[in-house]
Amino acid sequence: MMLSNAPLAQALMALFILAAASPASAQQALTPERAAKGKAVYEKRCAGCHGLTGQGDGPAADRLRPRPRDFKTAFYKFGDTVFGKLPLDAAIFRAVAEGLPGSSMPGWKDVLREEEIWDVVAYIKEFSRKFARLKERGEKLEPLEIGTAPKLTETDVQEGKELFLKNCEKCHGKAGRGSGPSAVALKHDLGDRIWPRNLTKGWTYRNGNSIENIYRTAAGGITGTPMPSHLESLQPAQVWKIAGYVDTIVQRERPKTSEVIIGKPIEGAPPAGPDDARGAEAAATLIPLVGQIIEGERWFTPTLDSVQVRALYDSKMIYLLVEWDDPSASPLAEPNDKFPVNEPDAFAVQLPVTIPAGMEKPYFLGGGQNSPVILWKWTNGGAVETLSSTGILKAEPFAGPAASALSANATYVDGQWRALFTRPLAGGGDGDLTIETGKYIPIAFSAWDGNNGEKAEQRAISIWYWLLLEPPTPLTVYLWPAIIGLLIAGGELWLVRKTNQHAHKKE
Amino acid sequence: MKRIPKLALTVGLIAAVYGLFVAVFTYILHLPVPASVMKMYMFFVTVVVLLVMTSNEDSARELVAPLEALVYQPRLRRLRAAVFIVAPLAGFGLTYNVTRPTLDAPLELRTVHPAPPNSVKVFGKTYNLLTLENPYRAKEKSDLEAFRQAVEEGKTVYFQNCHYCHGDKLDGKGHFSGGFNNPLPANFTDVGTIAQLQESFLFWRIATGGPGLPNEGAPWASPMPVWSNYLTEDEIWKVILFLYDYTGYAPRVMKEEKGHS
Repeated sequence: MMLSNAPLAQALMALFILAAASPASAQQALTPERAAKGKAVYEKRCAGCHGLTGQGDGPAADRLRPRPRDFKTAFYKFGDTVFGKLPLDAAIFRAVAEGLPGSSMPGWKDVLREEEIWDVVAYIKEFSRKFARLKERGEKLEPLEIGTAPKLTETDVQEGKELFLKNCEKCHGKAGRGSGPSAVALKHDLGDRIWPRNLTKGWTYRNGNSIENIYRTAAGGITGTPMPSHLESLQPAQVWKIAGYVDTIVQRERPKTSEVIIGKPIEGAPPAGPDDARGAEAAATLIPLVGQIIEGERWFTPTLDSVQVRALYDSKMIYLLVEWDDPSASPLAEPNDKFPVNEPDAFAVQLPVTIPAGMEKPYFLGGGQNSPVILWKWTNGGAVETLSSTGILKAEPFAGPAASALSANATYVDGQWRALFTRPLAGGGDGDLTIETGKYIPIAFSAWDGNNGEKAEQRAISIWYWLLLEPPTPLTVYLWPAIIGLLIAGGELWLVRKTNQHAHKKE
Repeated sequence: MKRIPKLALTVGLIAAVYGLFVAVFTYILHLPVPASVMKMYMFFVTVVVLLVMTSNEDSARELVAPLEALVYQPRLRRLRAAVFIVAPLAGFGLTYNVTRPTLDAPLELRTVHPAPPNSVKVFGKTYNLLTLENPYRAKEKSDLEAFRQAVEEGKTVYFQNCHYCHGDKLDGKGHFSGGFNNPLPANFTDVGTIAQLQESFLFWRIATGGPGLPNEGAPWASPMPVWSNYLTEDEIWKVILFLYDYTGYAPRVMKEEKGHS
C-alpha cells in the first residue's frame, strides 16, 4: 500500500509543477487597478536596481552590467517582437518570472505569485507613454513568428556556419566567443558600453538557449543594442541555419565546478606550449571568477567570468595550463576612440608559501599580514614574475631559484587566452612553495581584462580551491580486493568439494 | 499447493522493507536517511528475517535447498559457472570501491555562527556587544516616519554594497554568489540566520567582516568585506534595519535588559 504511494506522490508533484510552469499562457488584462497594485510590489522588489521612477537608475544601477532596464525609454531587449517594436506583455512577464540568466536579474516566480507578477508588468508599462499611445492608435503588436525548428541537415548547418561568418563574425567572432573586431567598440543606444554574447556559454544566454530561442534572438534582434533583426537581410530559412550552427557551438549547461584540480603525472616530453595536445591529458576544472568587491577600489563589473585549469607534473616540474575567454587581447594594437582604455590583460596564480598543515590557510584575497602568499603573474607583453603578497594591495617582487625558473607562455586565439605556467616543483629556499605530490595545496586565481579597464586590485578573482598532484596509486589499494576475491573463490571450491563428497556418500 | 520458495520469500521480504523505508522517508516524509544509518537498519532487518526463516530445521533446510542445488545439480551447470565467476569479481570490485584513493576535497569544519566576543573595537571605539542596541530600533514605536526613512536609507546601502552576493531577494543568491560559494553568502530569508540573532551580532559581523571572524569561523575563507572600511556606523545600523524590515523577521532581544534602560 505504502509503496504504491511513492509513484502517486511523484505524479501529483509532476502535475503541480506542470501547472505552475505554464503561467505565461494565461494572458491577463492589464487594468489600471492592476498597475496600482503592482506599484507596491515594484517599490519593494524592483526599485533597488530599476529605480523608483523606472529609469533604470536605482542605487545599484551604476555597479551593474548590463545596466538595469530603463522602463521609461521602453527599449526592451527581449520582447518577442521584431527589433525596435514594443514588447509583448507575455515577454515582460517571462523576464520577471524567469529572470535573465547571466545578468543580475533573478527570476521572481519563487517569491511572487503569478497575479503579483502581472500586477508588476502592468505597473512597469505605465512608466512609458509608448504603450498608451499604441493603444490610443488602436494598434496591436505583431509577435515575431517563430514556428517550429525545421529539420536541419549537415549541409544546412555547414551553410549556417558560412552565413554566421558572413553576418555575425564581426561582433561574435570566428569561434563565437564574442571577440569579433567590432566587439571592443559597441554601445547601447542609451550610451553605456556593451559586449556581444559569448555564444559558447549557453548558460549566459539571457533569453534562453534552445534552438528556438537562438532563432528568435537572431531573427528579431535586440532592441536598443547593435544586434539588428536579421530578417531584413536574410530569409527565415537562412536564420534557422545560423541557429542550427550556433546550436553546434553552444554548451548549454554551466560545467560543474570541482573543488580539487587534480594534477596528472606525465612521462616523456613535457607540453611544449599552451596549445600542445599533452595539456588535454589532465582533466579540466572550471573555476568561477567574480568581481573583487572586498578591498581597495572595488570592481563590480568584470568581463571575465571563469577560468579552466589543468595541471600536469613530472619528476621536476609542474605545468599549469589555464584557459579563459576574453573578448579582446589587450593592450589593443589600435585602441578604439570610443573606449580609449587600453591596459594589458593579465593573469595570476596564487599559492601559499608553505603547504598548510591544518585547516588554517592564508587570507584568500592576496594573503594576510602574517600569512603571505606567492603569486605567479603573467602580463600580456611583459615578463612573468613571482610576487610575494601580504594583502591584495601589498604585493612585491620576489626573487629565488624557483621564481627565476618560472615561465609562462601564452597565446590568444579567437577570444580565448591559453597560458602555460611552468615552474620547478621545488621551491629551493625560504619563502617559496615546494609543491609536493599527494598534498592538498590551496590555489586561487585572478584575471584582468585590460580592455575593460581592469588593473591592480580591480580584477576578477576566485576563492581558494585545491591543487592535488595525484600520487602514483599504492599497491595496497589492490591488495585487499585481491584477498577478498581469492577468499570467495576459495570458499566456492570448498563448497563444491564438500557437496561432491556428500553426494558420493549418499550414493 | 503452490508456495513461494523460502529463498525468494526471504530476499523479497528484505527488498520490500528496504523499498518501504525509501518510500516513506524519501518520498512521503522528504527526510532522506543517510546511507550509513540505512545500512545499519538493513543489517538488523536482514538478521531478523533470517532468524524467522531459520526458526526450525525444516524451514532452514528449505531456505538453503536452492543454494545447495546450485552447487551440485548437474542441470544448473551453466548458472553455477556464471555465479562462481561473478562472485569473486564482485567481491574484488566492492572492496576496491572502499580502498581506492578518493580525490575529494578535504573536509573542513567551519562554525557558521561563531560565538561573538563580549566587545569589539571598530570605528576607533570599543562597543560592548552585550548591551549594544540599534539606535533606530526604538523609533519604530516613537517616530514611525523617521524609522521608515532609516529603512529606506538602509535599502540604498544594501543595493549599493550587499546585493551582489546576498541577492535582490536577500536569499544569498546574488550574481556573485556563484563565485563566492564557499562559504555561501548568508540567506537572510532563512529562519536560521538573522531571525535567530541579535542586532549587535549583525553589527559585529558587518563591521569587521570575514577577517574579523574568530579562527573557528575560518576568517581566511570568507569574502565578506570589512565594512567599517566602506560604511559609517550609522549606515550599518540602517542596513541592519532594512534586513529585518524586508524579510519581516524581528531581531532577537535580551529581555531582562529591556526594563532597565
